[in-house]
Amino acid sequence: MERMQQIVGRARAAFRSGRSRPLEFRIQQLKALERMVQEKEKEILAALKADLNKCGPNAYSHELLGVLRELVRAMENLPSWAAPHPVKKDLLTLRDKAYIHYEPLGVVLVIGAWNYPFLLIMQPLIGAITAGNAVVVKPSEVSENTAQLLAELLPQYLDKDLYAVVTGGAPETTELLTQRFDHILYTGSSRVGRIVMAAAAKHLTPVTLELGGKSPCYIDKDCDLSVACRRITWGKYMNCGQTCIAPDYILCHPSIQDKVVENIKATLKEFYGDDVKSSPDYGKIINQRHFKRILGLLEGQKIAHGGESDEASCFIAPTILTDVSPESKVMEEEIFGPVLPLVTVKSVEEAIEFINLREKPLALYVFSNKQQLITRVIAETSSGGMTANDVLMHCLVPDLPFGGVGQSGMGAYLGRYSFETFSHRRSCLIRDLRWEVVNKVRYPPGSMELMHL
Amino acid sequence: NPYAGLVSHLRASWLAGKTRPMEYRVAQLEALGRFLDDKKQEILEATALDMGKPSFEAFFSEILLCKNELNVTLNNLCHWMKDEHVDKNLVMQLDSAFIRKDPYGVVLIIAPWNYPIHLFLVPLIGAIAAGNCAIIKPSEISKNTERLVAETLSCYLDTDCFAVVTGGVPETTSLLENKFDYIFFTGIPPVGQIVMTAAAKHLTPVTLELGGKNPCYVSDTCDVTNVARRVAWGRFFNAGQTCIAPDYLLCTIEMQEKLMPALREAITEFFGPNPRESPDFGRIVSDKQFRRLRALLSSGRVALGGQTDEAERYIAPTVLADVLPSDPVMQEEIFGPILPIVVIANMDEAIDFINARPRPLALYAFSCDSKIVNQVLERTSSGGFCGNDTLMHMTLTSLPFGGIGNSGLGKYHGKFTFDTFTHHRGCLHRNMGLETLNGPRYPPYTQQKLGLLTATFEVKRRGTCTLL
Repeated sequence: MERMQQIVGRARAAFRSGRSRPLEFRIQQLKALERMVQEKEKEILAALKADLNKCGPNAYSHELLGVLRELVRAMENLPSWAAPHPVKKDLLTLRDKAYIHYEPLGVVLVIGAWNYPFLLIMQPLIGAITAGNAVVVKPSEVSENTAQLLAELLPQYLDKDLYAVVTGGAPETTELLTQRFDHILYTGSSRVGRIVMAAAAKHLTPVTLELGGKSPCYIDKDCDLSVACRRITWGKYMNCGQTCIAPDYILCHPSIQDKVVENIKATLKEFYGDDVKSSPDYGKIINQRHFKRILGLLEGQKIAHGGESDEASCFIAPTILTDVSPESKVMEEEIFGPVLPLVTVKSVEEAIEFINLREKPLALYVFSNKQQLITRVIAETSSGGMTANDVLMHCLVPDLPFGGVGQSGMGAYLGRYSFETFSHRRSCLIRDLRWEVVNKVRYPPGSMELMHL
Repeated sequence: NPYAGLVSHLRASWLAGKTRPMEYRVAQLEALGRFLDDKKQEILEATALDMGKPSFEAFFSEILLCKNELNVTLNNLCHWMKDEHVDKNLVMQLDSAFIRKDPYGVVLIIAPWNYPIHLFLVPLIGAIAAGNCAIIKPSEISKNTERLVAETLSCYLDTDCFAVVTGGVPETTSLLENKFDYIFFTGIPPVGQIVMTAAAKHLTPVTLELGGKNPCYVSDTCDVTNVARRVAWGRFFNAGQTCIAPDYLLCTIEMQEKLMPALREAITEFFGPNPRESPDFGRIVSDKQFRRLRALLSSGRVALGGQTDEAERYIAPTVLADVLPSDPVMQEEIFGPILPIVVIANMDEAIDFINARPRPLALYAFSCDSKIVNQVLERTSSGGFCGNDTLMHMTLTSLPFGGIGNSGLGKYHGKFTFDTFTHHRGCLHRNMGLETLNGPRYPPYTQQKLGLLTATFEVKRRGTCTLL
């Protein structure tokens, strides 16, 4: 308890000193992070390999590239993001200065997840530093190699008091959450999201919750099935399905179900070869608990492809299930694994209804050549974000906010949205002490005639 | 749960898509405008009964400011609702990337008693504009206004999509057990905690407009007459029952001496020699609040005012001098017509005093020297800030209105209300062709592919260019 109090106390005292506020200081810290990613690339990739069996180019493009991109964006844009934003004035305030003043919030807590363990700590951290805050990061203990590495590296490159790393599991996190923070960004499950928000409520701390859900993927009969299936295969089986915005399940007409399976099988072969287990590009399930959980979802299902597993190496082959019943276990929880259920629907109306009967997902996908159909799906559903005719890609558009809605989360970050999330937008009106005559209208004794000016 | 049926009914209307077309939203907003016009007299009377709100004040805050928000919204709704297209990188030039403004669904607005129409209506304007259904829970303490709203709002708004729920703590607790898609709460911090905790069970996002003690620093270089008038106006408006009222003054002993006669003059100018007889000075909303405030009068010494009348719930515009930080009046948000002056030696001491306390909803600094005003701004934190005046920053609809820390989270007014009740959904509509461009991202992963990916997706520092 005391250790947490000390760490947070130190960060708060460091924040109060004011040294994280000058833009030069923030850029200096961001440059240090950039050096860290470049100098320690080997160590970072090794940790990712140990945790999730991610190979070099894979890990680099999915985690490090995103971090470097975020760093450059922050350093380039900080001066314009942080500048006071003048606002439109009205008749009464014409002579005044009216603007929004961007300020840091104070001490921010970032809780990471295990599936992209480097990315999901670094991107929020970058945002929080850019906005001028002190930051405490708590990487996931499940991806223990990356957590350990972050605990070693961050203090070597960043201001040690302002930016702290806390490691540990549920007990340590619970303790950490009793401390007062000025914002908490949590990435993880909806179940824990509730716990985080309830803890935050005690201190009236605003939260950004990046959660999950079952991201649906509707394939229209009228579309280039081979292209669609290649894109879906890429997004689904990347990181062994352990991606919060992976297409969770497919909705399609029964007449194209077989073709979908064929196309995905062909793509899998193209990506991972005949023997998936020996492909260096296919990951592994993070641990035994999730391995057993995912295998359990296969019970009673029609396996059209895959299903092989090896407990010792936490390997589950890319698997496709057909004619899946909406009531089955695999359709109840977020799969977060390399299992792709196909649920048949007779029309886009049925697909939309199916989607809307369920909680709002983090992502939503639709494949079709028909512009009108895509427009309709977007208009009649809701989700954190969405991509039409591809998967995952909306999170790579620099100026789109990344976040959930409903059970899939609240708030958003990345790029400018990170800066806004971790800043306080303080409204400022600076008036003149003269020109009192203008104010006379508002003072008592009041008259209704004056009011109608 | 007694409200489950009502919430269900609204959710069904929501799922049927009733509130989504722009025409529908405009029609409901225009109906709200008619409500304000038709019921103007009733609103003035109800708020007069509830807290002796002077007609002038009621017209200004409950009608005029609300109509402003309504007009800003109606003038801009079409633009606000549109998809916002965003810049794309090289690979996505043929794609369409935009932010879709999705309504949340069924929202809950909980309003307090001090500006009982304004504080439900302005959030409601944003909720309707954003395409949501809403349940409004006005305060039971301003009971005349509560009755007016409960009885008449349904004549103006579509009852399938908008409902008013009345009651006190038990009813609100029960209401909060239901799942909402957004909760907008205005009130005191302890209840804000309760609301956020209830919201956490359903992962419902919230805006909390809370309060605190809003400091008002007056430097030695200033026009005392104007300062006194502006501070008195902000403090005694609605008999001090305003979340952004200047709560206490910080100044040197010399300034306290100068301010006192100026404050006396301002009070007399506003309310006459006997404010109790002025139609422009309000009353305290309840016996409980009256007794609480009366007890605070023993802090420091009464330099101006101090008279009270329990039957009328009247507390005179009062200034307390020589107040110590440990006095009762400095321990809680005053929310009444009492202005304590706390003497400090200089600006640095004032800033330290402010920073040692929870961050307030508003912060005021008065000085003829703009550098001083700026220093106070730079070295403190608060929801909003106004230099050389009080309250006025909330009248500008282009400024976000909200707190920080204990004084709240989230912001609204103008477009910010619309944004509060909108889910900003990132959308990317890609081309099905040009599949070869996607080649580098697919396994088998190679260094060469990585090189291509880096080239296409990397954000280059300005001054370099990428040739593809």
